[in-house]
Amino acid sequence: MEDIEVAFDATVYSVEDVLRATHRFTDRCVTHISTSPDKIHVRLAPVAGIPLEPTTAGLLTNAVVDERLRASIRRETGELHATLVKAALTGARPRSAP
Amino acid sequence: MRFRRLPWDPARILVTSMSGDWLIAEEQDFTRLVNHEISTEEAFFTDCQARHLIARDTYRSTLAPLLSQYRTRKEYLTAGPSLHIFVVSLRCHHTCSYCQVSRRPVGDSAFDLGNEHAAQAVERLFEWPSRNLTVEFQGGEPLLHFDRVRSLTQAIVERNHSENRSIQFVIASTLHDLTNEQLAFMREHQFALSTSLDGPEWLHNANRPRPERDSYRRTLEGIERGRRALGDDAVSALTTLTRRSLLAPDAIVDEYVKQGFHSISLRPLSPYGFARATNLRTGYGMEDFLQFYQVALDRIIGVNRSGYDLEETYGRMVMSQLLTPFAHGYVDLRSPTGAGLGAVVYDFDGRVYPSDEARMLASMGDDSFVMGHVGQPVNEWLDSPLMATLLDAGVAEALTGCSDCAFVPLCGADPIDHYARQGDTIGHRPTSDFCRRQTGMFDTYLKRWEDGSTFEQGLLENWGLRRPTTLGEEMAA
Repeated sequence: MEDIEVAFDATVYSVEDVLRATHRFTDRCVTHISTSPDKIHVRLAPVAGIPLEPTTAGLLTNAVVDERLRASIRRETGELHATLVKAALTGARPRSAP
Repeated sequence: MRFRRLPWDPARILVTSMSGDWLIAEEQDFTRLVNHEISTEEAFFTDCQARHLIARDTYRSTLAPLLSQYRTRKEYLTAGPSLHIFVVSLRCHHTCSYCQVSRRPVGDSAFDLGNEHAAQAVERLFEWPSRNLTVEFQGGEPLLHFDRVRSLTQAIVERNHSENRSIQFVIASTLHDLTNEQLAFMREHQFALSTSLDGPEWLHNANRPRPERDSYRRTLEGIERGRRALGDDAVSALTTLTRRSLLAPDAIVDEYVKQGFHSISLRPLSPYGFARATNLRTGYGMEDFLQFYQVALDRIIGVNRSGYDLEETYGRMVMSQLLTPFAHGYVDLRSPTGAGLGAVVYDFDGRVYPSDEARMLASMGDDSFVMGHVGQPVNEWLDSPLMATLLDAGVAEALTGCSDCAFVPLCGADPIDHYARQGDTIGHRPTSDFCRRQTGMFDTYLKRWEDGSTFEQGLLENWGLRRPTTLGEEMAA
């Protein structure tokens, strides 16, 4: 399969959502990302001549949806997460001099 | 909260808490959860709350259990390295094509650990804070320099009279040419013996050539003698899987049953030492290893079903990660990395490494991961630029590709492996063999857990909780 092009609605998804999602495909694709006023465009080109699977576009779309959800979770819980980690590890013994 | 679509059913989602508790949800339920559309009356809401994935009200809900779980899972941070490897010699009588330590000829004593370095290494050992220490003697073949094994053990025992640590001695050896005197000494100090058994005779001899072509016979003889002197439980064996090995998963498992082992460790080759040089002959990709593993695991489960206890050690640790919050500190399943924080290697020439893999890289001419020298205090090693580099790349929760992964509370970081394979300590997750292996193993056991029969689920649960089980026990229950 030749290059795959997918366009995402920029009013629904952020460039970061798309970046994070396309990173997961960099084992099999060279990724090109560009924007227009209301779209984020992704072009995936095969790596080393290995054809892309027909399901790649669908998988990428799902991955972008997933990143959108992750962003939502991060916004809501990121600060609490950091606070909890700090509280949990406060008791870790510091290295002392011999 | 992190999540991952199940590869075998993308409409279902694995959701994990920051401390590693988890559940599998339907996609629409998960989406409703994230969008705050789940009713507090729903069973799914209660389930998520019980697993600390959500809190009804952060001002009223207690987060203490979540903190406790997280602290428990990271408990290995508080104690410092517990595994200390002493390389007493590089001499060895084998010529394994995949040797990762670049062995030396049997008569070449220039590659033995000397008196001064040995004494300094013992001093360094007791600078670390861990109350529980595993002292492992490695080589080459450590039996070829047993005088050093003896003197180090005696020095450590003597020093421990004032230190009062709990110390387990282990020797990683072919067990060839064991003498009664060596066994008596090991019995006195309650040594554990760790050897290599790659499979049936044809495979073991092909993987581990000796001039006499009798490595298998000598290994079995050593196992038998070790068991007689130290007890069955004191002798364990590991496989090293070459490309040839991947053709024989059933035969390898059957060999371990035949030799009376109750634990088998199926580990893929690493890209170090002679293994890198012979990669075209002996190497394979991670997908090939994972396919092999599925077949071998089927065989192992079948063996257990027939009434014989046999666990796969990495599978046991994965199940432990999935089913409990307890930290076992295994280097591949901990973040921050175990390199320098979980293990230390004292080499024959006095150089010190944060892991065995770092030593192997040095044997290939790459000194990037030399932590220091036994003549320096431990503080200097920990303050070194190397440790800063390892920690920069060794916290999985902060790495691209790992930070959002559902497995990150259960998984680990391996900067040295990524450096060896990809030339970069952080690495590129989509093409990472380490990541592929880890996710492959977690997926394997999650799917087995979901799809397995009552017996299989019980078996995997017992692996994770470390209780023995056989079909006979199940039928009697």
